[in-house]
Amino acid sequence: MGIDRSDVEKVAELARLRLDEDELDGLTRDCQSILGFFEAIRRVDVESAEPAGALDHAAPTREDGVDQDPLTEPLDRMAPAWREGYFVLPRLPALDAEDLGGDGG
Amino acid sequence: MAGSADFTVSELREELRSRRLSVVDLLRATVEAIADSDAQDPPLHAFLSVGGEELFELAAALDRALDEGDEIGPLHGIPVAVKDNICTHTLPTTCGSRILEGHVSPYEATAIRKLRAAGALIVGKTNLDEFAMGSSTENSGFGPTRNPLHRECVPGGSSGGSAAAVAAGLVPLALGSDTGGSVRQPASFCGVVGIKPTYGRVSRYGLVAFGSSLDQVGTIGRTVRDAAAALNVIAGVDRFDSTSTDIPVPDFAAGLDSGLEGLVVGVPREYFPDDLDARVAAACRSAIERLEKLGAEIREISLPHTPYAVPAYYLIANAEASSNLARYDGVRYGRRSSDAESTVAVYRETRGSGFGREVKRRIVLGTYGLSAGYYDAYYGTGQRVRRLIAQDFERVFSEGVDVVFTPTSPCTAFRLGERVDDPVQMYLSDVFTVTANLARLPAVSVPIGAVDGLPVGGQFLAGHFDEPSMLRAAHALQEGSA
Repeated sequence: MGIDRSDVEKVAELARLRLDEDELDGLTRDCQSILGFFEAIRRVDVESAEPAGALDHAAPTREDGVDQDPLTEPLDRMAPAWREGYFVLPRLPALDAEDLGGDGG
Repeated sequence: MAGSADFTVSELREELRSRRLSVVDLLRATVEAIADSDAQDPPLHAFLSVGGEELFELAAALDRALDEGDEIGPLHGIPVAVKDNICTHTLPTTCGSRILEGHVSPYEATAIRKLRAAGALIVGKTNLDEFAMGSSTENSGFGPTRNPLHRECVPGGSSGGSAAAVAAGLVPLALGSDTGGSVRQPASFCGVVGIKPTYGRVSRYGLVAFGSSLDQVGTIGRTVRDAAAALNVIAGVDRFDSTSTDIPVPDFAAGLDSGLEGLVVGVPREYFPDDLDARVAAACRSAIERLEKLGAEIREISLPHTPYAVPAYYLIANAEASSNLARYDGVRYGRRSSDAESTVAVYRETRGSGFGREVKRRIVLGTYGLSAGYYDAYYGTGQRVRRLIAQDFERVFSEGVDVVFTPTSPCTAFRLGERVDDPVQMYLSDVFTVTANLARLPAVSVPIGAVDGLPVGGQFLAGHFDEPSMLRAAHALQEGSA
């Protein structure tokens, strides 16, 4: 179960994590060392063991009522960018392409 | 006085009640002591933020109440420090991460709400490894905390700021969080008491999520009695956390003095491996002898899956962390990378520039372990081993063992920088503490001795929701050592 540089690059892309070249090299080395250490767990006979999970502490049910979480700060105070009740993000490139080549409709 | 210096919580309460000491004076001494600790070379750096004028106004109101004979709760006027991954709306909550620099939470954690209702003063937020990922507090995005007993050494982590603040006498109590030992290991390194309650005993509402099936809020104090009293305040079911458990909360301080006669203490051989630091082993042997003299029955036991606990823990914790940390994307709160030109670039650049190396390492490992083709081999195996570790404990408790005694950490506080480039060595600092989180058991670290001026901690674990037994044992050992 080895991990190489391209795996780290792919996983970082999935995790939306920008890594520079040096970081990528360092993280690949770290991950190889850590996953090597984790290999010990493969010696355990887990065939008979059920995975630990929610069955141990099943979440109790409760009345399905509105239980408002009192916010002391309005959302616009926390948002990096906010306009007219919406979070603001850079325009999607696909929309720009539509503007350039679209028929205006 | 310097902070709360050597006073216990009950002594401070008596000073305040008798009006020999005012809440305002205690607060002023605390704030000055924190400033002094950071003016030293090198600075302690236990706190990331400290309350200002509004805190003094609150202290004055608490003084007025006492003048009228009105004590609003068991922590009336007591200064408490809070790890900076527990949400407060009076101070920022950064999780020790640049990605949340300056972020003020829009709501408060249930544990904070309960502390305030008990009369506590939240004096400041303490330093931690970024998002509680680490065992030395060196992974903080705002610089490390140092061990107050030896400034060239780490205080442990990830609740290093909280443990250092209590050990330095700046505050009598602090909150931490414990996902794999993050309350107990720093308590051990700093010579104070740290409690990790049973999973579900304390609400996680407002504790910033790292490993949701492992995280618990814990308490740190100089004595078992103080840490237990704080646990009483924050424990209990909470409608905002569906994993908190609806079970009565006993008075944790009530049975502390009932002695150890008849208590069966299990000592697992797997926690005393041949390569354990001989000085730590000797301190534990001496503690076991004291327990026996105090009336406990010592029984050698085996917890055979212990050697696989660290890999199982990190497989599970990293997977949960990679999922939980997906929310830091620069859109709704926290910092945003300003030069990104597309939505995906905002995510990538914000996370790439905002997270530190250990957090990135864990996100990559966690995402990898959850990805198609690897899920069963990594996360699935980790969860199965977790079950086996829990079953090891169930067996010994069903065979009559009341509490289990182990070293808290295989070593004493190490030097800053010593392990920072070797993640596997750093992870092995947690070898004796992760099992309590995997099995969702309560555990406490209590000082049992010192090696070359650095404290050694002993750990007691008990069955689910049996905090009273482990606290009784820890208290007897601490009192017996006094």
